[in-house]
Amino acid sequence: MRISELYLKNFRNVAENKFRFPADFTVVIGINGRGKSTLLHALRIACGTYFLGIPDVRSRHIVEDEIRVVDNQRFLTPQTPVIVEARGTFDESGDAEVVWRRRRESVSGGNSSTQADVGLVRSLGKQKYERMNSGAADADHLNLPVIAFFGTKRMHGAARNRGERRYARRIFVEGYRDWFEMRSTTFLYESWLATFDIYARQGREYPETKEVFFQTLRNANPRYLKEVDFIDGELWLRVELEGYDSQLLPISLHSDGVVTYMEMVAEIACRCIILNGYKRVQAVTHTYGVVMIDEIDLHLHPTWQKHVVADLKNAFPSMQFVATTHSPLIVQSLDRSELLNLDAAVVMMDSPDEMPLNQVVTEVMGVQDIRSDNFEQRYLESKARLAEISLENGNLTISDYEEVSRLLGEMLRAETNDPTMRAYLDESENRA
Amino acid sequence: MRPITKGDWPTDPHTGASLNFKNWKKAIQILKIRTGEYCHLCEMKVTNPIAIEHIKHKEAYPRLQGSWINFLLSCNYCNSRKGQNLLLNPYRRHYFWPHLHNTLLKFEYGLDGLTHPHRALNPQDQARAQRTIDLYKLDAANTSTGDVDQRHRLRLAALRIAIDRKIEFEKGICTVSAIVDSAVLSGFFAVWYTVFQHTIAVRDALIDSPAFCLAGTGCFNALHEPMDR
Repeated sequence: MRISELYLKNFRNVAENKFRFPADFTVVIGINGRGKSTLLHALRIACGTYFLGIPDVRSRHIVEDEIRVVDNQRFLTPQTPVIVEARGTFDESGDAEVVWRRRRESVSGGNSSTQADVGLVRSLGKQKYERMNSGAADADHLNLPVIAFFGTKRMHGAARNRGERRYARRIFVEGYRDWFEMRSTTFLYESWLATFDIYARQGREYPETKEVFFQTLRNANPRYLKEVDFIDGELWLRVELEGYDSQLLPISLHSDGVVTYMEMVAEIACRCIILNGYKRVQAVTHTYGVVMIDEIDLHLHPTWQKHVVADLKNAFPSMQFVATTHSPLIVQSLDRSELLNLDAAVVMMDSPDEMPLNQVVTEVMGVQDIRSDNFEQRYLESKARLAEISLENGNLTISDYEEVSRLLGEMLRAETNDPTMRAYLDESENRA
Repeated sequence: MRPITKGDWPTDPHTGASLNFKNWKKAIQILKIRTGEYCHLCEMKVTNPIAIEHIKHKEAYPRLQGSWINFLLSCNYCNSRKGQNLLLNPYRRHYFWPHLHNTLLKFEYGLDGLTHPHRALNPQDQARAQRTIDLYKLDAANTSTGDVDQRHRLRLAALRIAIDRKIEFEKGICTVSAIVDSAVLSGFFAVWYTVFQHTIAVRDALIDSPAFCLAGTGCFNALHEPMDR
């Protein structure tokens, strides 16, 4: 499953708009209220269509609160029809694009599920469900997409005891448990790991997949994660961040950033394996699907934000990610095609990953007056001193030129984007 | 501002017929070959993206949108700063133009890296030069607003490099050809010209460098002194 385009009408605050997802990783940015989360919510409805024919999994429909209302001063008028239409591909459909839509014609009515609107997608899911029930020897060779939505509340109650949810090896029930709002409190990976060895001995788990799970954690955090183990029902990690070595500790004692990110990765990996364990060593790398993450930078230090997108791509190379962020460092790590800017008034000349951070903030994210430090002051001082030099004498002496060079260097240092120029300034400073 | 010469309206080498610029982007390559790969206005080195500046803007003068006479090569900053600013007519008389005048004598750069009317001009011509500057906002400086206009920053960088080469040249540790190569790569010919105008060997080599396409502009006498055209 891969969604390439989303069309919305009267959905939450979007009157009508179309969004494209040309890359496998898309990060949505925009001023608060521009509809970043709306986009994710709509994507969730589009993905949920897959479950309409699967009784084990809850679908996600357009609910009353998602109908756009227009305020005409004295009262609010709901706008219908509400349409969430998606275009995308499924592995069963090959390269051929499928279009499907959910529709709500009125406030009182339900969501339409006509054959024309959702038929094909519903039957794709249904076929897999029936195959699982067929009793064939390879009935679990389903090649199911991971579909998971991580909202901003994903981490509430993180790393606490979550004993009540037992993992019972039901592909659809557990593979898609709470997919529409993945919460730390109901994550399954711990119970899955806790029972893995015994199930593996009984031939119920694919033995390679446990190592695949740990390898995925390492792939998703190649810089900081030094050691990972599962001890006494809990994940233990040793993390080395900016020279600080945590030693091997249970995950609940780690920082919020480590907990939020590593648990999310662990849960996606676990869902990949529950759904497609039969792929054995490729269970994670060859599982496709759509993972939605609201505020991907949640609790992450800036240095970590710089590579979190690359890390996730590294760990889940077949997965489509759609995430939102307010972090310029995340934006700066993206290729042009990976950025979906809802304030798209500005035409980008360069790809964000080739821009300096200040340019990302002003040119891409539209922030004004970013040089709140004493930039203006320093700049004016240098300028005034330059003016003195040129006034004193029409023909400059070598020492005049040296002073000018130094002052220009000062002005440029505050300004320059170009790594070559920066290196040049540093180098000539050393010489002088 | 570096003077340029666009030459005659280009013709088809086989038929001899004048080329049709209905798609004016076709003129970009010819202008690059004839005038160098620099913005005609701010002198920034332009690779991509580069635009055709319609002196008389194409919305109001649709018949001139494919006219060679109406073309300048321009970076996106200059092109978009002008936008649809009202152009005074006849534009040849109200402004100074790099393809019509010797703009080295009409504009100069200060140590602040900004374009100013040349101090040797009479007040009337200074006002005329200022109109060109205003038209393309050639004196837009970096400010704390985070403006995306990169022209000033790039010109300051070129100025800094030029001055460093000047110091090195005076100390005898930098060759003429090294300076010319730096100038060709960094762009902003007039910045380099300003810094080296009294260093005759370097000045002459800069003027003679084929990258700047100054031969045939009629802007220099036999001694490489700038003269009006």
